Amino acid sequence: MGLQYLVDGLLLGGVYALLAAGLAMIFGIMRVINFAQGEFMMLGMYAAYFGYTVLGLDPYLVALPAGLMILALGIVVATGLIERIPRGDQDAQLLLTLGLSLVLQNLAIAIFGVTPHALLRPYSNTLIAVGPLFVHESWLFACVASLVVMLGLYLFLSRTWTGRALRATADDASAATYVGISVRRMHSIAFGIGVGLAGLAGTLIATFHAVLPTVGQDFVLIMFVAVVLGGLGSIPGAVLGAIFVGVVQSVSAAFVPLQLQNAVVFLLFVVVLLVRPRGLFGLRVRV
Amino acid sequence: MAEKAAVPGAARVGWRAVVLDWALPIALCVVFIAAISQVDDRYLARVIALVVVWALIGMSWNLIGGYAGQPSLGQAAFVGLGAYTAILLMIRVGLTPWLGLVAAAGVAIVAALVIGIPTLRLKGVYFALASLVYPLILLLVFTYLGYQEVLVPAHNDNPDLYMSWSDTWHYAALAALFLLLAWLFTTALERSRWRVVLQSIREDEDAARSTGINTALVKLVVFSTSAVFASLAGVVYAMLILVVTPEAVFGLSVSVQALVVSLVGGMARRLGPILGACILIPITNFLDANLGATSGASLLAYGLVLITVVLVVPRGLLNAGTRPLEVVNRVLPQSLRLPVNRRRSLPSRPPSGSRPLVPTHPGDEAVLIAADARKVYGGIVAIDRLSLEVRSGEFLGIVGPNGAGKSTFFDLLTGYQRSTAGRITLLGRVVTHWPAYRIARLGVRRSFQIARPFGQLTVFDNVFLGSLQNADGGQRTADTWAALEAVGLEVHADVGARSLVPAQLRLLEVARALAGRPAILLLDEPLAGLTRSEARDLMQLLRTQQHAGLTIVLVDHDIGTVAAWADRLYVIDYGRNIADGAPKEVMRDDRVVTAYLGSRWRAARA
Repeated sequence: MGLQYLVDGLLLGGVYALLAAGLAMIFGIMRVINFAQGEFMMLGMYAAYFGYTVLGLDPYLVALPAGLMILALGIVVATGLIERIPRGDQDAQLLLTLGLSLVLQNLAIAIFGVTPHALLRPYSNTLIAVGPLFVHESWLFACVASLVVMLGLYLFLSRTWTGRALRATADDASAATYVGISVRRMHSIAFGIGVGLAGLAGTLIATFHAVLPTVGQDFVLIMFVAVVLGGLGSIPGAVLGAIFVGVVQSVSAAFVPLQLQNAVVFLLFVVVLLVRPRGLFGLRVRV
Repeated sequence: MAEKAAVPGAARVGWRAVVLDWALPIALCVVFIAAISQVDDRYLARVIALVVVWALIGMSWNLIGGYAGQPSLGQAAFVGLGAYTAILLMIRVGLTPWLGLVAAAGVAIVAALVIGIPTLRLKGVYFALASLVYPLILLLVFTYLGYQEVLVPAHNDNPDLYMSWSDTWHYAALAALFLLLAWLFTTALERSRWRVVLQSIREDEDAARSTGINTALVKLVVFSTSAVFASLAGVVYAMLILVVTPEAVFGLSVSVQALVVSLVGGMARRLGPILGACILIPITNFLDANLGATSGASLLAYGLVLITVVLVVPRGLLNAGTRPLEVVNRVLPQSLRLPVNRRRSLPSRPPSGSRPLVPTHPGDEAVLIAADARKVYGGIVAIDRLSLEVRSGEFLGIVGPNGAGKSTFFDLLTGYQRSTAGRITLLGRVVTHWPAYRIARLGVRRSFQIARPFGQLTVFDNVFLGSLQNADGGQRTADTWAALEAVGLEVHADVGARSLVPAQLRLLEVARALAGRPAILLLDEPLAGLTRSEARDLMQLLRTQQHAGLTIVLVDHDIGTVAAWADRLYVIDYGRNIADGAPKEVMRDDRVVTAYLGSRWRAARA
């Protein structure tokens, strides 16, 4: 029984990791806390939903193109809005992304309506028995896909010149300009990739979670917890943090009523901020 | 009157200021209530009531978010607690909402302390993120407890006792009274020394602490007051909307609206939230009424407004252009002009011969003793058992190569960091675990390595902040002027601190410290960035203060300059004391020579 919660938590955490990695990337490179991260995930979910209902495509086929489209949208948003605010004005940046989140969420309400939709695939509600445990097929697939994407992200950041330039910008933006890196461009790319990852994760999550305009609100807080746990800005930290949150959320189901499950996550968030604002794992701190 | 004169920015306290500050708002409130009681249109009355309620909520947010500079995203916590406290007491024990207001305020204060004490330690966006979560937790808890939809019970038998008025204007009038209260409270803040105190916290908390301000307490007081006004608004709001749901009072949209009305109107401006509410609430109410509350149209509008304001008028409409009073003044004849805050006249300079700033200390007892002070970060020993004694009236230079641990040691002495072990005694008191502001109040003041002026305040106000804790009444003004004269900045008193040049900023920091009538002055690398002649002038000035009785501890890596002025040198390398004595002897010490030359040699190799 206990082990079942743990496995569920690890699988969920693996999916959250993708969301958190995007948020951490944006903070690590731009020092911007992106409040609208959940809404980009929501866009991904709707892409998967309409990809299936309109075009008849499986969400796993939609994932990559949807992620790329949201990446492009992210670049537009970063260049057109976020980079217009003086760098370092974190309060203003937070307010801007908060406004962005409200706009996206309520545009979605206006266009798609408030009714939740379910995207049902053959694997959506299937359980695989592994010994005494049951594994949600949709969670397993999503987790594996998430790990593959993160491997790709790792290779991109470590093997390509753009990736190296992004990391250089994260380390020291002014030093990066001295070697000819356009910080402005890197910021836009980072934001694009960050929200693109959220959008991609959204397509995966759509296979087991109701699709609705306000879904981002709950998830964005889960992402914040993960990212703060991992030490704001560290991608590996965020991944570990996300897995931790997944486990806490899942295990708490054994002890607290379903309605309060998110309250536990929120409480964890506050406690971590208050006690260890630099994160649990002592990874790269860049605050 | 002496107290009034001591407050900088209290524009010459004339009848015009009194009328403008107190009589006018009260009169306007009376006129407003009289006017709204004549409104027959229920829809219009409701919209007006909502405008007033949201102006009040915005005003409560403005206290913590605007004046104290803590960008809260959780004002809904107090609105919701106020609403639920009053309504549940009404249902459960039949308590009249009039007493419910008192209970709501009490609950809000308790909640503000529970939330504020831990959370206000966080800075900037961290505070914003943490504050966001509290109302969301409350939302989930109240939903879980089964309060998804609570109806305000109707009491048509005695509408006045139970606020069950059928005429909506009553609610608007009640909210207007609270709004008046909030306005007068904010006015009192702006007219007292709290104006400069809050401005300093908003700009730079560390620097504010160095003047002896208990920043944590100030923030907590403002946070609690803000919570009380929000909870009062919550009660009126609940009575007005009749059906209370967790989403309606604890939802993120409530916190966002509180913030947006203030932000649009103008942060840290009294009129800001009122202006913001007057613009936004009718629009969003119209959208909700025509497109449905679930259409998301009003929140979409808030989102668009938020983005636009942040990009176009980041400090709000009132801070973007000319001040409204200035516009009014343009059409008034000279004799009737109204006092405008920004053009504050400085308190007059007292005739010379005020008390000396530096209290004379008898004898040469040890006023600063560090015993085996130690600081360890993780596994790295930054300060390793440093022991030091400074006698009254001494001019000590703490020197050492870059990275030797000078600044860390300095922070231990001034309470900016806690030592891992050891004991620090200042002026006969063991202060090892004292917070920075208490050390400053004790009479031990510091300057910062990179000057940290409060750029939005005048030079006078910057120095005045230094005098707040160690004097009262008119004495503060006298001390401020004396400190300004001591460093020669008195001619710049009414200039904004941000327009000073670097050398003047150093002097400003010294003056800010001197205004607190310190017994010990600690200076962190005051010579950095100064030219030779500026450095000499500063040292000469310090020497004068030393002769007046001030004990000076100066930290710098420029051993040559310090040696020329200090009575004694205390050399640190790798967190250890390697020499201590008269400058001439210390300069010849082998270990000191090695430390300095060795570091250069290493630098050359790197």
